[in-house]
Amino acid sequence: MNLKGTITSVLCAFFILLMLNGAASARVEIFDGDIEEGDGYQINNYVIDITDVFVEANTASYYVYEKNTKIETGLLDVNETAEFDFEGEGKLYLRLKSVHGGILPRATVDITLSNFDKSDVYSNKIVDGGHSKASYGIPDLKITKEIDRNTLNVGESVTVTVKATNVGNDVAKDVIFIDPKQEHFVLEATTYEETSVDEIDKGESFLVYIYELKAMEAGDFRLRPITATYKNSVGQSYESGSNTPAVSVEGAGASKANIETAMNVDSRVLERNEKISTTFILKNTGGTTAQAVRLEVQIPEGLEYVSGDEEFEVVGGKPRVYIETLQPGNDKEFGCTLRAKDMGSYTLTGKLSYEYQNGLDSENIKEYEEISVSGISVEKGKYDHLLELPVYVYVIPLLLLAGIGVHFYRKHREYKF
Amino acid sequence: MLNILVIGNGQCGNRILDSINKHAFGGKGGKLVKFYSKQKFNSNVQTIAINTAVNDLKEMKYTRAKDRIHIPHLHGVGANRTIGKQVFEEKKEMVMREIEGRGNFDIAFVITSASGGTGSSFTPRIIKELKERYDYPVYAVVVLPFREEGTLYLQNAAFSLREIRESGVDGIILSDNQYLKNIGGSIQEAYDGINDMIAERILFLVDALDSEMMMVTDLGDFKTVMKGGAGLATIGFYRAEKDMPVKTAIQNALSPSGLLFSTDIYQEASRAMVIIKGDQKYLSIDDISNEIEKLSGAVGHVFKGIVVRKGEGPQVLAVLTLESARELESLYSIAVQAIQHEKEKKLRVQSGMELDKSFSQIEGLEPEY
Repeated sequence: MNLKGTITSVLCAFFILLMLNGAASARVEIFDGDIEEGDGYQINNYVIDITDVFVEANTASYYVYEKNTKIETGLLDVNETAEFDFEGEGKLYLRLKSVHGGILPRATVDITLSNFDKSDVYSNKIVDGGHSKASYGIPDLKITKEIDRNTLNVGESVTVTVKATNVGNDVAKDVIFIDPKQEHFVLEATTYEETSVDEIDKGESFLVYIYELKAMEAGDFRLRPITATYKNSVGQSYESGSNTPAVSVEGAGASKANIETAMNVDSRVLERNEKISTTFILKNTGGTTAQAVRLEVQIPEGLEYVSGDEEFEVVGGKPRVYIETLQPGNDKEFGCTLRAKDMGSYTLTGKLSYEYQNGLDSENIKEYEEISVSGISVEKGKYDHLLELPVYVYVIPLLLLAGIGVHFYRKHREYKF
Repeated sequence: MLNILVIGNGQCGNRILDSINKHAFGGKGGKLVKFYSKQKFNSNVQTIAINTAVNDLKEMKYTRAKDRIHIPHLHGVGANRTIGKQVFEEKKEMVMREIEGRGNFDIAFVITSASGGTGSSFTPRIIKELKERYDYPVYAVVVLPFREEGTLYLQNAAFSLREIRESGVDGIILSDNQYLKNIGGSIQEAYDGINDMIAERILFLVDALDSEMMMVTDLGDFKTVMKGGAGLATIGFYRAEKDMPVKTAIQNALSPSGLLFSTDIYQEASRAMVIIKGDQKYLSIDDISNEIEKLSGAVGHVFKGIVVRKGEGPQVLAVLTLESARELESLYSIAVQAIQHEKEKKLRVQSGMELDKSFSQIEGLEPEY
């Protein structure tokens, strides 16, 4: 009985030892080689810096960082091993095998890992300059722009859904999505919109947009990509772009008038009382006639309207031009002259409005645009300094001249026969 | 302060009067001087220009408009003294009212040419009227014509001078264009030069009569001098450079080149008044006395006056009354010839009426073709 109990105890001890030995043997080799003094070795977000190598003492000192946070320091003798936690359950072992002198002292180390799947090690390498030079996990947002259909008619809508998934190995922080305006379509409705988020964790998905675009013109188009800017956990910046789904729009397109404007001035720096010539060019680059085109010039206080082409009329002190229609491809040019009244820096603004029939809607589409020329600087006039002189400077000579004039007139009368 | 009336009669009188007014402004008297300067008379001097020709009055530049009296009669009297006298008689009250309006005077000068129309005919009558209405002395300054100016002017001068002398005038100061014509330049320049010479002398006299003097001559002395001789007088004048001795200046003033009328003062002068003006440092009393003594020895009484003017060079004015005037005799001889000449011309014209007899031969006839 005692023997049986003894055999059972020995077997139990043997299995325990076997298990322990099995765990020990589960260590995986990460690195075995030389690290120069001042360099480090990175395993994922951990960096082991070899800070000093003491050849005579057969020792080397080390610091261990998780990202930029120091978590461990120590001094190892040759053949001594240090261990510390790695990403939760894992254990990291650092054994100093030998030290070497020279211009750049180095330590030969052996780094192993246990309780950690080696396939999860996405980064392991020597880092020149130690932890401060290490790059850590990289978030990677995969943005998908999906449409509910690829073919539609003019005037019909397509639903666009935008999602982002972090397929990188680090969290994506401070994420901002930018969706550019889409040509040939107009935004008809927005169901969902979340254009920024603090963070998207590894593997996490995020719904950005759900909206409807109404097709305005026929043709084959690609929707423009959504871009996202974000940072990794240590603040490094990254950018991703979405796919560009293809859409085929059939049928007669919606007509659109598009007036492009240009406003020019012949001089941006002028003296007080000088005149400035302003030119406005309106060109209809759209496909349909623009109607009720109205350009109203907003003249700042320091400038005043002097004259303009015959198309100009002044209503309520504001010069404006009104054109019944502006055909596609046509342009019109108007000029007016302004005078600088007061010194200062001014912005000249033109407010444009027009309407057009798009062929789809029953009502006219109204468009508004504002153009401006800023930085018109009015400086002191050539003779302005005279106005700054005190009144007596003018009054006294004028009185003297008047007196002389009266004297001369009286003398002339006195002697005129 | 003396009250002095100066009347310029006719074109010549107007021009001399205008020159007096110009010189009274001082300096060189540019065209604009009247606009910025004042006349520098010591006395209350009233000037009146009288003319029948409005253009002559318009020509004046330095005489106030109110001092120019136009006697309306076409455009002058055309050197015809008979018409001139007639016009004066018609407008006499108008002329005298203008003079009366200027107030009372201590002395009057009437300047005229003896040869023209308006001046030569108006002057004797104005003087006569002044003498009848007022008690102040009236002196005529009479300008004699160039001898070659024409017979009308010569006969006018002869008759006018006689009438002036008979008008009751207190003295006639003669100036002779013929004598002064060697002044040179164009006729206009010669006229202007003579006018300026006469004006300068009269201004000097007017100024001296009312100035404080080191040695005094006054209006009374002037009257006494002018009473001497035959009622005729002339004026000598010299303006010396500053470095010229005063005795030389006196000699030059009394020499023919300094006189307005041709005369030998040492033979013909009766009384004299010599006025010397200038800075005291140029006026040597001994030299002055010596020269005056020499003159006194020849002419009799000489009044002398010295006017001290700081910074001015020596200037000498001599008023000399004449006992006789040979030059006048010569003038009258020529004038008589001129009158004869005019008379003969008139007779010839009258004989030209014989032409009418010739014309009368074809009376009642018509040309036949």
